[in-house]
Amino acid sequence: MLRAHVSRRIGPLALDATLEVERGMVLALVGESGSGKTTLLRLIAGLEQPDAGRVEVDGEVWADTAVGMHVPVERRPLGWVAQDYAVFPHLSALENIAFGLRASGVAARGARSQAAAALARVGLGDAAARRPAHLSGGEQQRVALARALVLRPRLLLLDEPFGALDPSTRQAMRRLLRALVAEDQVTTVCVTHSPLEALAIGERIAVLERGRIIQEGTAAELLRRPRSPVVARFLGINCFRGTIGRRDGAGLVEIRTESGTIAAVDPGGDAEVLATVDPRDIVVALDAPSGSARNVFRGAVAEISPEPPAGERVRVALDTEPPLVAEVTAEAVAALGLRVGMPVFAAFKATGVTPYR
Amino acid sequence: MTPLRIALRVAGAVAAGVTVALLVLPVVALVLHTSPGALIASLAEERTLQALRLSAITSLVSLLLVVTVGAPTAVLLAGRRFRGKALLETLITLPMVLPPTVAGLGLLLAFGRAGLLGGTLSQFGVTVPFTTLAVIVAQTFVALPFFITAATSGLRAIDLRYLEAAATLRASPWHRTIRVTLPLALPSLAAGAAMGWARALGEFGATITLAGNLPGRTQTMPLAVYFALETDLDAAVALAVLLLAVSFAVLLAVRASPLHAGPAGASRPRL
Amino acid sequence: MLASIMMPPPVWCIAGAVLLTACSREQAPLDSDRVLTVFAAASLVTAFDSLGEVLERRTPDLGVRFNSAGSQQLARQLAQGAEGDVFASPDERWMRFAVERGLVEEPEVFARNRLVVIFARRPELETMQLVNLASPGLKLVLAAPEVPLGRYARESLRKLSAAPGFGPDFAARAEEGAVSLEDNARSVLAKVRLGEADAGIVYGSDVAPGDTAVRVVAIPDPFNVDVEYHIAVVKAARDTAAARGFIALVRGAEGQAILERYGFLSVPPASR
Repeated sequence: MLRAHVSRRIGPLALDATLEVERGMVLALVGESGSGKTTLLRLIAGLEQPDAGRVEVDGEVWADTAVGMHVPVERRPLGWVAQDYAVFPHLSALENIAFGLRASGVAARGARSQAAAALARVGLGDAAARRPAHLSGGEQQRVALARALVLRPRLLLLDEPFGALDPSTRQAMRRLLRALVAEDQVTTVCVTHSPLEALAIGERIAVLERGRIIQEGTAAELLRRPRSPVVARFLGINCFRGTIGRRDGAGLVEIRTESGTIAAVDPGGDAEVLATVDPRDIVVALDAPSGSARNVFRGAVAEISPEPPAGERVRVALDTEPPLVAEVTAEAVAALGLRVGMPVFAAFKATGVTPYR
Repeated sequence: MTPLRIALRVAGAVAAGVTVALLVLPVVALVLHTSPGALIASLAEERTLQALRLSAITSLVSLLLVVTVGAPTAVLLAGRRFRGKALLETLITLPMVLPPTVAGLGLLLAFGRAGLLGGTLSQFGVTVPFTTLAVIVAQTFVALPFFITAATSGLRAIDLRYLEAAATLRASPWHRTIRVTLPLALPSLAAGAAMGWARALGEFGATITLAGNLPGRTQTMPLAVYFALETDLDAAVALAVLLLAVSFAVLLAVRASPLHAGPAGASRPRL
Repeated sequence: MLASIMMPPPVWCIAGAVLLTACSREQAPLDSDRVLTVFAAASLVTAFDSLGEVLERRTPDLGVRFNSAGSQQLARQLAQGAEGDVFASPDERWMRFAVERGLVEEPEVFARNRLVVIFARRPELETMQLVNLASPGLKLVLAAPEVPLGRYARESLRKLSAAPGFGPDFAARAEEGAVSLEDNARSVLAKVRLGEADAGIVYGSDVAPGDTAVRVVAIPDPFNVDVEYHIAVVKAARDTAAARGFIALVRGAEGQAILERYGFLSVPPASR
């Protein structure tokens, strides 16, 4: 189990984050670029030193600024996989994997056989003698993974491990990672900028915004109640922050946001609230809809992006006030003849929007 | 190919041609001036053999000293910033701009019997001037900056991420240096060593000033050529060509060896 | 590598400043109509500088320039077509070389020199004499046999072997004990002045009159070597008149007096 709290000032960014990950669990650490994800990971690893903080793994303290303790990286039982693999170019795949074993004092022959087993485990059994120059990106990443896991780390840290790979390879690698981590039951923190990846890999997700963890929870928790528009935007749902406005006396209320007003279920009180709208609940039409939806907006199509893997569902971003993202089927896009710049109507029911704090 | 590309290619070829002409012609002229018979006759002379042996031994010992002292220094310079680092780097490269004779004078005034360290050295029974040791000192002095510069630059070029990865794989700083840094830096180190050795082998000004000239003890090949020039041009050319041949063979061997190829061995991209 | 071999012989002075001032000379004023180029061996430089100034004062439209190096290099430069008007050298082999290749006219003797022994000013050397040159452990620096001074020094040592009290193997023992064979007199002088060498043999003209950094011991005439300096007009000279003028000055009374001031020995009028 990982228990870490670190803080550090990096230029204009004040990083101050606490993470707790149960043993054997996978936490996806997400956030926009510049939010401090990589730094947070490096601080936990010990590659950088925090201004203040404490890192404890399975009861062992790796760092504690209060008592001036900082266990050097090479003495931490961790695994580290970086985005650029950092597979040693002067060693073969097998030698790369054996590297950590040899550094730990394992004799050559034992190291080689363990390395061979680890190599087979990631499906590269026949690539033992190949040098990184003759390995594809995905293959190098597998070597990096095997290299870290063969040492039986207590904590596995991955920094955007699959960012440089193509989509299908990425998918395969995600499956492999999940399988290996589950098998070894190793506590894992994986930094990613891809919501899909976070949802696919992470049993829990932590969202970092401007140096602070604004929300941490299961995917379901985040989707249902994102704590900020940043989280929502990341997950691809609509989320607004606004103040309570006019009440209609029938259980509905106006929420005034920065960029527009929406009608929602009255949550009571007068405080600032958050409200989410699932993209799938938004109906896109060419003419003004005449149904019971209280929220009707008019705006131009800003962007049309098919969702992976096969694009049957399409996300349509709209320049309405407030801006909305709707999710429709590919057939609907074709039927409506949706094009960027086209003026459309977007509608959703007020009763489907429950504000919260 | 676009006209610009063609023009650049031609310009490159012309520049290379001029470079080769300037550097190779004098060597070719020397070789053409002598003959295999003259070379063999020269090799049969005691003076030649003495000079060859002395040059070989002193340059190799100097190389050993240069690498032993220079490699750790280069590791230090390639590493973290520290106070006075820029000053240290400048001081280390200073000998490169000194005319060798001036360097020799400095060495004499420092390590000579009447020099700064003279008294201390003689207490240990060590005299430097006029000895083979002086030849090694002079050669080491001039070769060290070359090696250190090449080695430092090669070490600096190593991506820190490899070293970080190694640390996460339980490698101690020593293990990282030996198993990652040095192997990756090996081509630069080899090139630096070759340059340092070549410089040591060709050393003249500092040698003649500090060590003097005595066949068998301090007369290296460059000195032998110089003095042969006083009386016998052909003998001097023969000696010069012998020296060139030995240097050429060694330098070519280093360049062609796998030491130089680099870890990946992959060819460079065409730009 | 080869470049350092073709360097001119190192000119020796203790401080860098002395190096620059003593061994260079102002170039001839650029506005002179005529320029005289004199190729002179290194040991003649300081004396010839003065002689050049005298000639320039006498003939205002003439500038005198010196090319100074080892006799061997000067002769080869002339053979390769370098522009010189006068050639002066103590080395008769290279003067003969120039004559045989038709580079110069008939050379004439214009000065002589003798050898002296110099000792470093170290306490243990203060009482040493010529016979001590063969003492074991004495750091003797000689010029290399390839250069004239080296040959002359050896000749003198051999003559001394016949002297009473020196022993027939004196020369052999002395040469055996040589720690370095330098390529010119200046290097020999410098190493003795610095105290790195104990003793050396140089030309009399190499030692400045008031130099207290070395102790001079004269070699008696019977055991000394008479070194003759020759001077000749270069056949391809651009200004033959000026060349002859310089030679006349050198061999004339004024020139001889100047040469004597610099430690050379004058040549009797009859042979001039």
